[in-house]
Amino acid sequence: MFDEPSLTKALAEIGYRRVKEHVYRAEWSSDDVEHFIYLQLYGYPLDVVASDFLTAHFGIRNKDAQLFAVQSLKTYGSKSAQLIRHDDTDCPMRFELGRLAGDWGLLDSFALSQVSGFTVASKVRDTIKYKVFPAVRHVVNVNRLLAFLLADAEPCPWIRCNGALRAGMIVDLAHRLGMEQGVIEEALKPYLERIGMELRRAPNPDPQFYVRRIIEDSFNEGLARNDRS
Amino acid sequence: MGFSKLSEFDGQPRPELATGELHGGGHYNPNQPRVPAGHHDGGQWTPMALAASAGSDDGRVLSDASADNNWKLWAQYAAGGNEPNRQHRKGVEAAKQIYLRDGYSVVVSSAVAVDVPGFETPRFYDFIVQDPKTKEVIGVEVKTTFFDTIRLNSDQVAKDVAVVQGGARARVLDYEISGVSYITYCNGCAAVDVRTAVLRAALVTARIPFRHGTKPGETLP
Repeated sequence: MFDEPSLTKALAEIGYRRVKEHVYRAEWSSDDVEHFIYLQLYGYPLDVVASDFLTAHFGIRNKDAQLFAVQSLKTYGSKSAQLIRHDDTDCPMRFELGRLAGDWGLLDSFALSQVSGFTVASKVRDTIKYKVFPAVRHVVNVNRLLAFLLADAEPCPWIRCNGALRAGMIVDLAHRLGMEQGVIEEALKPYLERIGMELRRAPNPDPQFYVRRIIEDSFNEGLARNDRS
Repeated sequence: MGFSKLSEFDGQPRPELATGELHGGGHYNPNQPRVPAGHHDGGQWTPMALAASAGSDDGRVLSDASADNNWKLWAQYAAGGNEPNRQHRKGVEAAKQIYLRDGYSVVVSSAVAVDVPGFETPRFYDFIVQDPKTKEVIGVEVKTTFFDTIRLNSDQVAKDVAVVQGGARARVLDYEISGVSYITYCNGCAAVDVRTAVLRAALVTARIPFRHGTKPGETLP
């Protein structure tokens, strides 16, 4: 059985507050960097609402950088990019807690009929505390978020995120921090292949074109930036 | 405030990925037991038996008789028992391991909702992988069954074809999904019979591959 009260209590112990169903925001988040925990319940068939299994993600974002990134991808990406929809608590930079923990069970999920609510809550809390915090707890300002996004390491490697969105966030943050256009472009060079994966069906699938255009947009207060207001 | 040292932001080298093929094999065995008529499998631990390279793709209608020793399990499934879920998860986990073995990256390791242009409801895949050669991001559908018949779901197939033709968007991570793949597991059958032939043909035309394993957990060739 899904025991949300136990989870809410366990997550409160490490500074997360429930903001809506299955979404928790770190109270130690800053205006610059927000941290989230997302719970996901599912069962079989997958298209039927069920709560047989629980998996979870942690997420990290700068809201403005995220908006810029999403708008950039909608502008230059494929047709399906128009389907991206975010509410106030969404973030695409999210990563699986169960994969990080390694002991949640098959498919990095808890089978809720086999473990107590207390055990689930404790394991989720401890995974965050001992596996996530060492990697992201210090990321509370724009400087650190930029460095975090530019790195390619566990628990948040580029291969498990949307590279074009990540690049968009980096461009926005780097511009705000005073990096020059050429430096930003150079910083993204190692990730062009990853960025390009998301652009395979874009009108122009060249990742270098994409990077240059969004850098220009950012610096020129171009289309993407204007559209966010 | 500004950054001048590029080295601060250099990423770690990415691991090299091996490549692999994901195309199934198998053949139709007319002696295998079948699921009772009128059952809706919907992607569960349901009747199945392979397709792709099988030879069972001739659209023939098979007997609905079921083996006696499978009725108990089937009754449990019909009653919503836990065993089918457990077996299905084992199948999904086995499928994941096969993709990893073949050099694919598992991008999302559990159930994922995918928005497909033109459809009001999402398509759910069991997990998402990335092809090491083409870099295509693929939604994987795992079909499991006690018997040897897989009944495809027309809504799922329509969405699968749309995904391959025009791309779709995973809700978690906002990944573009542009490929689909099926893996099937049964309870020891040598092959699965995929129904209906029309739906199967739609998948074949869209070049959506099938693989088949006789039991969850076995290693596919």
